[in-house]
Amino acid sequence: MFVTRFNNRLRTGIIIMILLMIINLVNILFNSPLVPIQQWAQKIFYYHVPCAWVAFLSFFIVLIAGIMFLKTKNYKYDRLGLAAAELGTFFTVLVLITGPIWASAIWGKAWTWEPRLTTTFVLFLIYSGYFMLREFGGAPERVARYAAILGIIAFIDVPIIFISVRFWSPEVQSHPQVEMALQPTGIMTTFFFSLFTFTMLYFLMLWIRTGILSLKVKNQ
Amino acid sequence: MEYNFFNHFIFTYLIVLIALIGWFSMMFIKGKRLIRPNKSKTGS
Repeated sequence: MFVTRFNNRLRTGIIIMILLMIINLVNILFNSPLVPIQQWAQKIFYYHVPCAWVAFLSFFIVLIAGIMFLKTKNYKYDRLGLAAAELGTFFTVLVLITGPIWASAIWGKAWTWEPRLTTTFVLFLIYSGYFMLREFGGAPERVARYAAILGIIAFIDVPIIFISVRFWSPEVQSHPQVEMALQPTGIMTTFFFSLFTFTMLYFLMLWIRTGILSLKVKNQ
Repeated sequence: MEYNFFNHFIFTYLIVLIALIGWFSMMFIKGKRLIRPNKSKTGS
């Protein structure tokens, strides 16, 4: 009964998501203007920036889940934290892959050790440590507690990434950010639709992952 | 002449698409494995 209801909702969710992704792609391909100089490379941002946004949102959920777990000792928050950490890392990896594709076209090299790239890479390393802790931390109760604390501390890096463009001196920066608000309407509409699509996709993925983790606990 | 970066965009799109398909397939397999024991309990 539970599985059937879950399956029906899942099917509806996936169908809606596929439709949104197709509309998003059509929007990006045909309904957004080509920017001079960057041309098609600029359109990478319709995927790159939403991936970064959902990664940060995900790490924020890890932070909230960690606080709630330490407060209530309810393992549903531990599962939520784990699911969000996995998805956050998944989208961070996508950010770290799609970013260099754009950079190789526009900067002429895939990677530079500038502040935003470095701090994003550090975030990825911190969460790699988080999964090592989950895997090799020992007793489940202790792992859950330590993971919650690490999830809270790790979030400190997210605002650092966000403000890194202003925080470090302009000479060491290569990142565009501030000019984003000055883009023409065609770009912003497509960009916000892409942001909306990825946020919906993220919540669907989080729902599926927490559902599977709960099912795993039920079966044990 | 401005260089056309269409290949870069398509490459990005394919990476995101393949990653998402991979994730959903993995969850589908994991979910199926977890649901199966329940089915055997009811005898279906």
